[in-house]
Amino acid sequence: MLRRISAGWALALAGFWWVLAGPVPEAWWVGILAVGFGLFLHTALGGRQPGRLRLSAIPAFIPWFILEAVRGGFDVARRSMAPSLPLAPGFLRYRIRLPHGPSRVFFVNCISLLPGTFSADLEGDALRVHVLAEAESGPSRLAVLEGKVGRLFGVDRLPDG
Amino acid sequence: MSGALAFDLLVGAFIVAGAFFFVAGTVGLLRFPDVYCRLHALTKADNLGLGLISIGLVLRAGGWHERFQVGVTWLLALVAAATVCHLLARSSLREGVPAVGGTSETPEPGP
Repeated sequence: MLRRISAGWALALAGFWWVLAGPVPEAWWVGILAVGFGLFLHTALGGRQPGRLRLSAIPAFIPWFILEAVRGGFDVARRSMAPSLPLAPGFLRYRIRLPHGPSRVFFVNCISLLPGTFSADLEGDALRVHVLAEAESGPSRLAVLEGKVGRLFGVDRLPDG
Repeated sequence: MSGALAFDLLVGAFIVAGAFFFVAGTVGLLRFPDVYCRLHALTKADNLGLGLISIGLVLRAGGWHERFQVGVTWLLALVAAATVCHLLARSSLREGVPAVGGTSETPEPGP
């Protein structure tokens, strides 16, 4: 199992290197070292944490994410250009229910790319989120995102309490 | 209208639309009241602007390698924007940089 995952990662990192460096054969001398180092970091920094990106769940996630990113861009553009500067900023606290590991990191980063919210600080399970308009982006929208990320990584959210 | 001209117009439309969002993000950076609101302008508007410009460039690209390169650049920019936004906001909060607005919770000053 672990060997299969590592082979997948090695392939992905090699593809990444090809994209960055181009089809230059000499570049692979550095590329092999870079892929090896990437694999080492992957295992050292949490290769055994729960949750793996499920390739089968990606097609459902991407269109939703792109739509939200477009809405986020329009939202900020509208607010910055409007003469009255319509902002009602504030902070809210959100208790994360995804387990530690890649799904949690992905969730916290996604919050910052979606309309009107970004994750400002994380202490334990308590996430502090800054919102541009308090009324429009409540905890319920974060919970929707958290559910989608959970399905993307095939992990269950922990129960309340 | 010839096909080549229509294609160039389409590419141009994506790139101009992308530039518009960069301008909007910069206007937000100048007009928004505090560091936290300004981070919204940077992460949201610029990511969409870069995405639209990337689409324009992918359409024009000379081959698959260039297309992948543009796509990967956008993905890396997304990851970097989210990470940098979080780090800037966190250090601002912990240093007690004041936030504007009717907040349900104001940041406590740093130690």
